[in-house]
Amino acid sequence: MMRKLFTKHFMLTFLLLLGVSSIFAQSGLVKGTIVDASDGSPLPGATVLVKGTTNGTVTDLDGKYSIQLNKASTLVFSFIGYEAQEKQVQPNTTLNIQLKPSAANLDELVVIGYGAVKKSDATGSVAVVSSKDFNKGDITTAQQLLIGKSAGVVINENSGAPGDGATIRIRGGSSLNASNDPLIIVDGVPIDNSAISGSSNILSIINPNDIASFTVLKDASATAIYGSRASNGVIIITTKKAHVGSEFKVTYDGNATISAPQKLLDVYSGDQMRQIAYDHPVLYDPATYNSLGSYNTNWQDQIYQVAFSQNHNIGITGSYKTLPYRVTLGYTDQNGILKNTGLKRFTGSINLNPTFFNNSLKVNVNAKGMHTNNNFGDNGAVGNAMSMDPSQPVRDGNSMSDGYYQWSNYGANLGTANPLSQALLVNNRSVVNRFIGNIELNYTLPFLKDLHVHLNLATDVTKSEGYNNKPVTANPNILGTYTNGQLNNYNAKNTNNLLDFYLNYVKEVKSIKSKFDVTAGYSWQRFELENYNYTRDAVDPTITPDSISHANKLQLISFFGRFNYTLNDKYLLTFTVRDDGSSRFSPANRWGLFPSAAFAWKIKDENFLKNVNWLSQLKLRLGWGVTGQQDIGDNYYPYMANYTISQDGYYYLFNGQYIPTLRPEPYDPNIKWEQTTTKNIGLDFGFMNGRISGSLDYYFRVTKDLLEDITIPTGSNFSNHLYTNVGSLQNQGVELGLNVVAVAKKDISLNIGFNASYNENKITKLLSTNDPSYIGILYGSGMTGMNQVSRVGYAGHSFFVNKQVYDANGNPIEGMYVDLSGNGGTVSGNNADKYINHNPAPVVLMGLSFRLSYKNWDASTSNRVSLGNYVYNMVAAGASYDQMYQIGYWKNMPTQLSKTNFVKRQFSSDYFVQNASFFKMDNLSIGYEFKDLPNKISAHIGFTIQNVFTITKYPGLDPEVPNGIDNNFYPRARSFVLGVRISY
Amino acid sequence: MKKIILIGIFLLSTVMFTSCVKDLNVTPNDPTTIMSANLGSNPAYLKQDLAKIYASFIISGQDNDHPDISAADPNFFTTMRAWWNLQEITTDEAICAWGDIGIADLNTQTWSPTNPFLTAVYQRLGLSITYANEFIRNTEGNTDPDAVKYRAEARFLRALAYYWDMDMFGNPPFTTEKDQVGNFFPKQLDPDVTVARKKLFSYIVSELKAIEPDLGDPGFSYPRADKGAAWMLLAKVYQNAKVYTGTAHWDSCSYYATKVISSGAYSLATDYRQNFSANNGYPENPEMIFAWSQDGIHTQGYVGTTFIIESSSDPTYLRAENLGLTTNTNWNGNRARKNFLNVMIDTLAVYGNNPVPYATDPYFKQSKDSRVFLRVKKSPDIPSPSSSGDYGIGVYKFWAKNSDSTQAADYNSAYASTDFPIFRLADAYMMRAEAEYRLGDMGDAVNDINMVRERAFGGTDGDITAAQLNDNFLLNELGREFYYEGHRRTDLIRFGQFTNGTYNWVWKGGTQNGIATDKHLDLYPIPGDEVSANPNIKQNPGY
Repeated sequence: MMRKLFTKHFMLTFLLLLGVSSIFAQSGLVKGTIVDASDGSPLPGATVLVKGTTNGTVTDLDGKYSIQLNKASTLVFSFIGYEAQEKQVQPNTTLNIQLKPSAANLDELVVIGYGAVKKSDATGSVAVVSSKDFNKGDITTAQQLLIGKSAGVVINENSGAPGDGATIRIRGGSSLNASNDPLIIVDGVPIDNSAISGSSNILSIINPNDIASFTVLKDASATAIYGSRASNGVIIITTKKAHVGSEFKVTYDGNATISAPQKLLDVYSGDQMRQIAYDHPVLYDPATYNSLGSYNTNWQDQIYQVAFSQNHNIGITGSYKTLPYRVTLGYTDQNGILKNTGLKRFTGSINLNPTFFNNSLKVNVNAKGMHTNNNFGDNGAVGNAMSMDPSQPVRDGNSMSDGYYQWSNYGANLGTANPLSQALLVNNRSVVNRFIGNIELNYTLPFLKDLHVHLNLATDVTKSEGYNNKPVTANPNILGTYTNGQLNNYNAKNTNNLLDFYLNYVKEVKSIKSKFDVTAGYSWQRFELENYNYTRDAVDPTITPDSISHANKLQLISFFGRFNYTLNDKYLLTFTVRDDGSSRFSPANRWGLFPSAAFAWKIKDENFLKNVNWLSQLKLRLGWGVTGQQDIGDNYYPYMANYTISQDGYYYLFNGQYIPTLRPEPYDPNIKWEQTTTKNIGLDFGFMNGRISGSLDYYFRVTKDLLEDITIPTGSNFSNHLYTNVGSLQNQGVELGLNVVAVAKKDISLNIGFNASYNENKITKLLSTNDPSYIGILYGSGMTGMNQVSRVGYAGHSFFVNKQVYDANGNPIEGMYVDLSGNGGTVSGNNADKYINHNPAPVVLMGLSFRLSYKNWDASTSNRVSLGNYVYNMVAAGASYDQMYQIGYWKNMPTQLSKTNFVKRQFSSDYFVQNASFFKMDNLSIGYEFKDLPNKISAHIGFTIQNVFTITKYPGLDPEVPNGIDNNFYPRARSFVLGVRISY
Repeated sequence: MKKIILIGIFLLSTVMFTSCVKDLNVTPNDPTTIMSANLGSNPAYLKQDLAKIYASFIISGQDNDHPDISAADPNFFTTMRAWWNLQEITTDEAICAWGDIGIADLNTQTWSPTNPFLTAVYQRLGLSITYANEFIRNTEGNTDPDAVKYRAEARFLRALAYYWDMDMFGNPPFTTEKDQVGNFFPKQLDPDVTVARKKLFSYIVSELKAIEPDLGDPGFSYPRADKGAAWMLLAKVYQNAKVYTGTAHWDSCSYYATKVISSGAYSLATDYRQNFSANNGYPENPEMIFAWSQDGIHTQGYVGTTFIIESSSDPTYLRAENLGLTTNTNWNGNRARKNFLNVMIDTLAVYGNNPVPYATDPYFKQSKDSRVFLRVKKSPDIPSPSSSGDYGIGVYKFWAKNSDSTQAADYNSAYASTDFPIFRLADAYMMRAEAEYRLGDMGDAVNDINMVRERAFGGTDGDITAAQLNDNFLLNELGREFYYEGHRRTDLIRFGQFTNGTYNWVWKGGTQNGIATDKHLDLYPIPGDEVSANPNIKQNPGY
């Protein structure tokens, strides 16, 4: 039913577009668009004034203005933060203006949920990062633009693999186990957060060059209008648009990048291995010693490469009569530093935003497409390059293994795979296509000018197809059960359809100095997710194939409303409410009500401050709101009983036949969303006419009904654990964002951006019983120990380890720990003797960026500081002499082993919980603008270094690792980027 | 035009508001998902659902990535594998060399409520009971003859799980088909473990008696539970009745053992080792009454007999390659302690007054008892509880080949097709012999024991007389017949030799020659996880 309706929506809208003829300007009207001279983006809220009069107007959301003139006049174009311009103009003309930025600006319009607001009128904690603040360099994914640019927004790229995704956290996570990802909205379309198989990054569809701005909604008073999806904040991405009267303009952006590993992990050479074996005759008998080879192979050198990448983007902007358009095409060819990894991506986008009927109907059509060819290779080679025996050659001509050296197949098959063979022999590729299209209609009622009707129809379809094949010549350890080679193929399709409809009524009642702005709407969104994965042996059909397929649906339906009240342009009140329905929950728990309230006071506008010249802005914000989290994991029907059928190999003999078994799955019929209540106090300030501006926020967030996978009473459900609402946790923190225009002169300017945030995470409840002796939820594995815990009173995922005892020289004594329980006896991996020692989350995070321009030159740099984050160094913890020689093969170790000298591995020692605070220069770039070129051509050339340097005490490869566990991840490269931008 | 737009918009919105809320009723369109609603409609589902209860005792879950319970490792913590550890490595029959958390505590009887093996056994037995409850609930009132049989089997499996609960923990949470699943706190039968254990004993006995008429005849469809299995379980429960209730029930034990023996469905396998070979299933092996079925192709996992074979073999002394497995072999963990060698082999009879010639007869071939599948490794002494598996007495009773050394059907180089025996006929003879001995009927007791020993010695060479029969002989004979089959802890407790100082073996209590341990260790503790999760649960005394 809805599918049909949906198609109808689209058809109707297209008919409208075709059938409507436009209406031209009337006499005496001057119109045009005001754009930012630095990047051509439209400036909404800019002032146009007839000189010497009070006659004036401001530009709309798209930077457009129109003003009635009786005669030739001088117009003054101004916008806070930009240098004003004056122009002589005749009536009935079009005049487009480019304003040059001068200092940080305050009155830009900020896109918020279902609407926009002037930044000075925002009541919630909202941060905008626009194109001029973006990171520069070899930017292949959208999130890279935002790293380090906004207080409280932490973006960790998952690895250095080409196009890999990132973990984005706004003000820490509000959840332990459900999703902590923020809601991401692209041009009004909330996109699907679930990564599709064959594609590692949900944001890869957006060409970074197309992005005009990010708006980050942080506190609940700003996000609550998104209800059950808002607990982790909201990021709204707005792409660039053209406007009526835009000149035809073609821009080419291109860059070429050379990347190389920043550093390699220190492991032993062949000579050092032989020496160690010689020095430890007790551990390695002569026969074992003699099984070492004579080579000195640096396996890391073998698998890494200097990689070349290129990026080309063409953007065409213009306006055909009253149809403004923007068309972009992008091509990215990125090669990874790990051999046999890379991606090729084509992106295209079209944006049309015409207006009809005297601007009463605004139409905005977006279509974005992406086609990506991924080559994932085999990242497992990274770890094996560390542990492969350096005394062995790369190749020995063995035809069984395609000429590569491999350990002979003995016993447990655990011999390290030859990492170069592993990297090169795999064929692990995917093709991903994605389309996001939407049509937005914004109609002002002719008989009720204050009422706007808004309709947004969108569809987001991703399809992927891929395979991961390994030849028979690969190491048996990699092939596992598929001893004759692995054949694998998979495909997936995610569809997300959306309908948003809302009414907006704005009324100013001058008599009571009041302004009302009311929005009420409805939203319908359906996700359909399908995937299929089939792995089998290349030759032998009796080896049990592995087949997985899923098809899931998720339906969200919401009603929402917002009420803004402004008194005297000084006191602002906002109330929002959202009633959300999600198909994930039983009819009894399905609907959730999420309210919020906020108050802002523009203190600067009070009489007592009006004449204080050094203070250019002062605003106090108070906010409170409730949000929810319905993205609770892979189970789309967690409240329903269902059965899972077993795979072959897990059958049981019944009446002479082996039959698959049916297992009832655990479920909680009463499961519901997590609820987060946020309180926020904020202060926005500006000094010296906005040259120093910023904001300071304190927040306190409590999440209750926390979903956690807990141990449940035996006999109460179909497992020993159940995903259910049990706990609560709190986050509190302080954020500071500062913008300083240190120098602003004709030829030289220097902008400094600084942000800092402090966050404290604490679990306050975990069990329905509140047993004070409850040890908490342990994480880890049977092999390496359960070395992380979430426990009441501590931060989530804290490290849980034994206290190491050191000798007189400060070296750790193997296996000797402090007897914390006082029980005596052997102090080993027993939980009673372990304690909580730090956690992976940073205490303080800072971002620092500089932007300098001098005449035609410009330079910028972005830096980050992370303090108090700890990493469990799994690479070092896995190093021991007894592991160096395994049954039948040798294994290399990091040279940190020479410091610990452990014979057996000591996974539970706090020695391996290491301070990973760091200072990183992410980005350093320098550019030159060619001015006064003929034919209005402008050109810019730039050079950028990415991942310039890292200062840290952490001894591993990189202090920034996912989830605080350093376990051989694909390292980030250092890149050198040469970029060119030409436009005319 | 404008009006059309207006009308269009308002029409649209009306339709949307009225019709869309229903869209929230989404059901899965996933072909591999079966909802409980359509379970009863398909008889094939019923069979598969029952097969799951069986499988829940032996394998980890629905595939390698989806075990039934969350634990540090799927295979380590399957019921049979963890239960085997609790029954064997806590005794003289076995010690494990691995460093995994929880192993050392079991080796030395120093466990605590956090031990992951006892936690897994407790949780998994409870889970099998919960699966059975659901099945029994779903077949309520179903009069189809197959369904009636299935339902009786589910009740048997539930009684079996409760029997092990009673044996190891004494006081598990008690649920029946009347308890729906959800998020609630099940109760024990009584806060006092002594009272609760008695009540559980009565419940198990009454359940088994109630289902007897509904179960299939002995051997009707191996490995499904039948009347023979129910009689064996009744005999087993009565055999240990004094431990569980304070009152012995030897006559009942003898009654049910006799029912098994005289059913005519079973006979002792000619070759003792057939019971531990790939062809050990009924009816090819007439001795097997009930077992957890395993298969190299269809019922896999590093569990059951695969686990016993691999964990007991090593690259040097006892290679799994010689036992029929060639992939992922020789885990070098379990072997017997020196004391058990003295149980297994009457060295005085075999070697006279000479020292055991370990070097020249490492396989103890001079022993006439065909049940000896032992091999001395680097040395019979184990220098420390964490010594490598190269020390001690290797055991290779189970293997993956057929009893005639041919390759198993459904052969797989990594997984054995050998079933793990729960009840075999020799146990019926030995239970009856013990009952007769306790009731003073020495003649019949000796006859039953000699029945079993004649198979072991291939004749009457090993026969005993009434004068030789005493407590110690009986306990040792149980060890000789059933070692590595998960009987040892229960037998030692019944003879009062598990904890106190009557019988000490190396590293018992953590000292080289073994020391007396406290009697409270005869019961395992309720796992700490359970005490945290369920406020209704009372911990066992002493923990």
